[in-house]
Amino acid sequence: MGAYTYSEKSWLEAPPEYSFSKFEGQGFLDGFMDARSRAIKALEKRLGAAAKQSAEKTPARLFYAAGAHEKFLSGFPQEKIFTNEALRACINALLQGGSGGTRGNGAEDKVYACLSGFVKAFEVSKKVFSEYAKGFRVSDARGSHDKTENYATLSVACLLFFQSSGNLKFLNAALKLDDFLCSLEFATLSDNDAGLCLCALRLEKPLAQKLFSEKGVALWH
Amino acid sequence: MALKNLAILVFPGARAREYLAALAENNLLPEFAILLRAKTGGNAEEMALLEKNGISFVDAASHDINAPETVACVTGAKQDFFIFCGGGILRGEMLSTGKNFLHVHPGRLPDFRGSTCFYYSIIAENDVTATAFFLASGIDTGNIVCKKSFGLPDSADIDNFFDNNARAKALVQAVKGFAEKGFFAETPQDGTAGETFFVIHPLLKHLAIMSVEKALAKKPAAKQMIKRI
Repeated sequence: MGAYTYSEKSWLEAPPEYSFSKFEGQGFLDGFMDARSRAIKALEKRLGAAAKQSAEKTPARLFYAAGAHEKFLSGFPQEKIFTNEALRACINALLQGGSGGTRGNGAEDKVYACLSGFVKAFEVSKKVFSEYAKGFRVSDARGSHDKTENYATLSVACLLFFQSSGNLKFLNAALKLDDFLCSLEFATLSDNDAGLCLCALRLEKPLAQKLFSEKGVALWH
Repeated sequence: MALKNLAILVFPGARAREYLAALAENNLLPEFAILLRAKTGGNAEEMALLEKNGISFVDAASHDINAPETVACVTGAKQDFFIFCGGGILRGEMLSTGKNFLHVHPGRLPDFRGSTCFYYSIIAENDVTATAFFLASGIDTGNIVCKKSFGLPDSADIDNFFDNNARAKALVQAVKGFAEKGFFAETPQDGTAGETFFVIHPLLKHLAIMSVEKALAKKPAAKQMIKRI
């Protein structure tokens, strides 16, 4: 089994280099799955008693609130975009109507545009800030960039969008975000952050496995 | 015979060598070249190729495609069309020279913009397409000259072998049209269509390569072409 090196410590100080990554064959896939499985187990352990309920830590349980997205999306893009509010609105829209599937009208376009803005800013900077200006330029980003909640929530939003649309840009971003989540010291996380990380990783695994299966490549040996 | 009004901006590397070899093989050589310097490793191979093919060239005196020295060389050249061999993103001053830079993008435009698109299109469509187009200020948004589809790659070594080879074939198709008509037939893109991708995650890269390997393994004659990065 190969070592999976993309979720090592100090990710924020020195994020991994994804360009021209080497091909390492099945061992890499085994290493990836092993690293993710270990992270899920460690998060379950970290949550302790709450781990009994962790099976219920699904996006619907964590994020869904009827109608919570409508006000935000109707006003999007705002001059100031608060990450937590925006991502929760997108997730609600996705949970309510599978809004990631199409582009070309109303809410679907706005969820796509909003998540695309976050993905672009993250791909460029390898950071998720707590506040952006309209346009999501990294140079205009404000606030903290070390809030685990924002990385985990963006991952969940991207995974849900990929689930409903099949758009690989969002799975790609989620895989990188989850590398970041797996690099964290789980013991230091709050219950809320640990739960969000667990939710993201649990959502990622079956989606990745399904994609590999569709291409006839075994991800799980 | 060298093609008039066509030049090449040679950024030292495998892609430039592949382009020059493909153009020479198809008798589609440009009449002029600007040879950039290499940050490391020199540009002797590219210089030898230019000399061997009788292409007159000047030394850009820089390794930077956007350096004032390079811009001056481009501005001073009489040719209107430059084949672009990579080396970074052309900035405003270079794009404002009034010259046209022909680039081959490893993806079908406008559907696959951005980075590592061959890998994304292998996963999404079991196909790779290279697109020759003129560079503009937006990423991968300029006028399209031609597209060349390949189906699945005939080598799993995409970064080191297939990428440059496929781009060179699309370049030949584009330049052949120029040689026949005396101009590049251009089609504007829909700037709002398609998707812009970012550097592919290693997991998805493995999926793309392993699905190519799987397809190649079904073709016994092609097995020997499977190369690993």
